[in-house]
Amino acid sequence: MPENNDIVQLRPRMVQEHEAVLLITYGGHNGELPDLVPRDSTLEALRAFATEAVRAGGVRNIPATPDADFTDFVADRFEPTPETPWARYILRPKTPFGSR
Amino acid sequence: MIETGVVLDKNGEVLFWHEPPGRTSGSIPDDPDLWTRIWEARDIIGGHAHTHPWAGPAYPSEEDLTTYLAIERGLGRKLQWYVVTMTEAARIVIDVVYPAQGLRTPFIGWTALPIDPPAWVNELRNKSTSKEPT
Repeated sequence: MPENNDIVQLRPRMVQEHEAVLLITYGGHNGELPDLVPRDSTLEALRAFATEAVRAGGVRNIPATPDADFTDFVADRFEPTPETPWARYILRPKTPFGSR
Repeated sequence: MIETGVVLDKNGEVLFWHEPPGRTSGSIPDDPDLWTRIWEARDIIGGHAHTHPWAGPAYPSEEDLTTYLAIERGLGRKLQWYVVTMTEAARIVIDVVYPAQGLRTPFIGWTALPIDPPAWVNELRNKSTSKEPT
């Protein structure tokens, strides 16, 4: 079975109800925080988790970036579904524009 | 009048129009789908333009500048950014100057360089004159 499917199979047993997987996009790379985050994490906390991990090179697939800055990133929060029965948070760049 | 955006490829041609619901004459809201589409087009994307739908100078807002920086940090490379009014169009060159130690928010320096309007500018202006999002 492919490695990715192994991960999918394991997730329901690994992620508790009060936890979430944090997916990060930075520097042209996508990665998953190796540690689960509290499901009630604030946006500021999610930014801090990501900053610390990416600066230290602690996110698989994202090279260590000592000046990583998530100040203007936002989190999309996806609740568990029958297909993906664990909470997933995606930290991504904000995208609003505004003249006023 | 309503703010409207367009995402451009590396040749400066239109990749797709950015017309999410919730736009007003003064803002385009945060749109997860925009980031998804930018990410999917990351190998060919070249830039983004949006309107400030009035007559007068073309220059970025603070919201624009922080969005530019965030998207470039996400992609890991620079893009070309444009602001278009009903009378002017400019390419925005940003230069981040970090503040003195102890301040969190960087000062963002920028320059608006007037451009000869490419073909997409007229369509962008036309879309920005709509009363309702298209």
